[in-house]
Amino acid sequence: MTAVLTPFSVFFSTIRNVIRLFVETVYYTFRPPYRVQPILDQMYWIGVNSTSIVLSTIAFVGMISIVELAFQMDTVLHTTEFVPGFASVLILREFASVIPAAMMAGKVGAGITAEVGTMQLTEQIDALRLISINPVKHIVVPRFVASVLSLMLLSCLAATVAIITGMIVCEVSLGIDWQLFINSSRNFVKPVDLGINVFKAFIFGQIIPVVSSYYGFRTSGGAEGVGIACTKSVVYSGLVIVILDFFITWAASVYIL
Amino acid sequence: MNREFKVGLLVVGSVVAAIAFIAILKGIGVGPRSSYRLKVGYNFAGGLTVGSPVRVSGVKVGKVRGVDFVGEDPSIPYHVIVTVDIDDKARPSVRKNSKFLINMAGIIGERYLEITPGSKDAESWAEGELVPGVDPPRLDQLISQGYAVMGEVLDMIEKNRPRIERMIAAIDAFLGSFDEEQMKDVGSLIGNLSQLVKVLNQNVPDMMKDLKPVLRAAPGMINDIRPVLKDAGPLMRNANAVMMDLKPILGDARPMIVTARESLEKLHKLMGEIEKYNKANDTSLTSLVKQVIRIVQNMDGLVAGGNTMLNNLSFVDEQWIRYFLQEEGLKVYASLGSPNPRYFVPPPPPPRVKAPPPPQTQPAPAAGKPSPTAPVAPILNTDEEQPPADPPRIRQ
Repeated sequence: MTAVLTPFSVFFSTIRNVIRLFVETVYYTFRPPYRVQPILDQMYWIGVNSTSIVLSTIAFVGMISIVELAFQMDTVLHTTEFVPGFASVLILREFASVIPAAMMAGKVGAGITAEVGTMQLTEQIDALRLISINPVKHIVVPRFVASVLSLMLLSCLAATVAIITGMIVCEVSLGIDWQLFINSSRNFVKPVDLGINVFKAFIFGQIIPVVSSYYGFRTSGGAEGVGIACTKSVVYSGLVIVILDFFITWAASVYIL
Repeated sequence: MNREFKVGLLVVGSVVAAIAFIAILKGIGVGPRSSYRLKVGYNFAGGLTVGSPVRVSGVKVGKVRGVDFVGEDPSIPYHVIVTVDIDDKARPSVRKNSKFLINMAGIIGERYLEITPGSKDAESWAEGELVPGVDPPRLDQLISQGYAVMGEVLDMIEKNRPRIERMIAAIDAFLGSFDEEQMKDVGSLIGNLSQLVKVLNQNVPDMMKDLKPVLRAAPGMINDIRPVLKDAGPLMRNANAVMMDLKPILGDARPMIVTARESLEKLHKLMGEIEKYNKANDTSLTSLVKQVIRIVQNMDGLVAGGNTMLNNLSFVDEQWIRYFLQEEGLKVYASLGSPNPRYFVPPPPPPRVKAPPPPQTQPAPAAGKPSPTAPVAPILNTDEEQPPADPPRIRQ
């Protein structure tokens, strides 16, 4: 009987503990003393080092969205007049925040989990507690702030790059030059779409370091444990990103038309 | 290029990208453009929103700044006031006889306000003036009212169905009472009749022409005969002269007489054919002609009835149709419009005109011979019908 209920209890206790870590992180973010230098260091490691992979991925995602939408619109409407508008809105509302977040969940999340897990295994976390430094404030908060800011900035860059590559594909395969692209997408794209993009990045940027640090703090069992923790953190942070993406998209499409 | 520099580069680059994005979205070149403001009144805004473009002759020259309801002001005959900003460069094209339409760009396009350029001699609009707008057509109303109108037409046909059927049966019977032979005989009869008339036309004037000198010469002849009676010699001479005068006349008369005889023969043949026809079909041509006349009179009655119908429907003009559609559309889409349109009260329809009585049918054919067709009933006897209900009034 308890064997059947154990996964559920593990599930709920995990969720409870992650939320507890999240609340702690937010609390310690706003509590002085503020240390700016670690945040900037982490912004380099998280933001700048992810730029290349994020922009490469999102470039191709932009091209994919144009080609796929052109195929569907040609089948249904027999015109590709609305492809720039629809593709721009789709990129802004969906891809420009989810794809960088997924990439960062893999790259940055695994890195944070490995780092924090190794610190946990080598008892550096306990040492921090011994000298009355809160490990959450010392380790998690810089990465939290850096991750949020980096993902917001990278989403803006990603949207731009995706639309530029989309323009290139439009010109090559649909014959729509970039000025016509911009003019015809202006009917569909509203500034609120960019706002949704940044807001989603804001939310996803908080999920990645929290979930990764959670699994890092609970690492045990040596190198193998670190590997297991990294796997779990990447998988679950990606899952939570997609679930929250659904709720945000639903709220945005129903309430902010 | 240390790490912080790269972080700074990332931040700056992202912010610049975001700003450029918004600038391109809003439209580059939004400098301080001088524009003037107009208010356009509509009863149906057709989906215009704040920010919809305004085009003059198809060129975008401005934007819609506001779409507001008029409220309780009874002096403004519109429900919605649309405030638009128009560039000053388009100002000379917008005149008092410009039309302010609401168009749709493409099939799934957005709505925009189209201004047709006025003529160059009309005056311009001043700043802030209230302009009368042209409401866009309500295609949805039109379609739903098309259904209603079709229903009423079908009702009318249903109500008059027995009369229509009788009319068709009568025409059918009349045409069916002839078979092929009779049609051919009637045709040849008419042909012979026309030939006879032609021959008579050709010959009678010649005959009269030739008779005239004879008649003119007759008194002269009588005067000449008196001295002839006195004097026989000159009588012989005069008789010869008279014979000389008569010869060419007789010469002309001979072919005339021949053609007259031929015409008489043809007339006899014609009469014979008529009699043959009568004998063969046990009918008389006169009764046939009488039936044709009766049917034509009935058609008169039909036409009179049609005229009456048209007179009774004469109140349906363009204004009334527009009122009817608007009122009906507001009934159907009750939540979208006011139930009390202020802008038009249709004139009441004129009083119903009584149809003229159908013409009296001819008395039955003579000698007890039955006529080939049954007597045709009058069509559209409008005396029996109830007058239709008045068109729907405005609900107060």
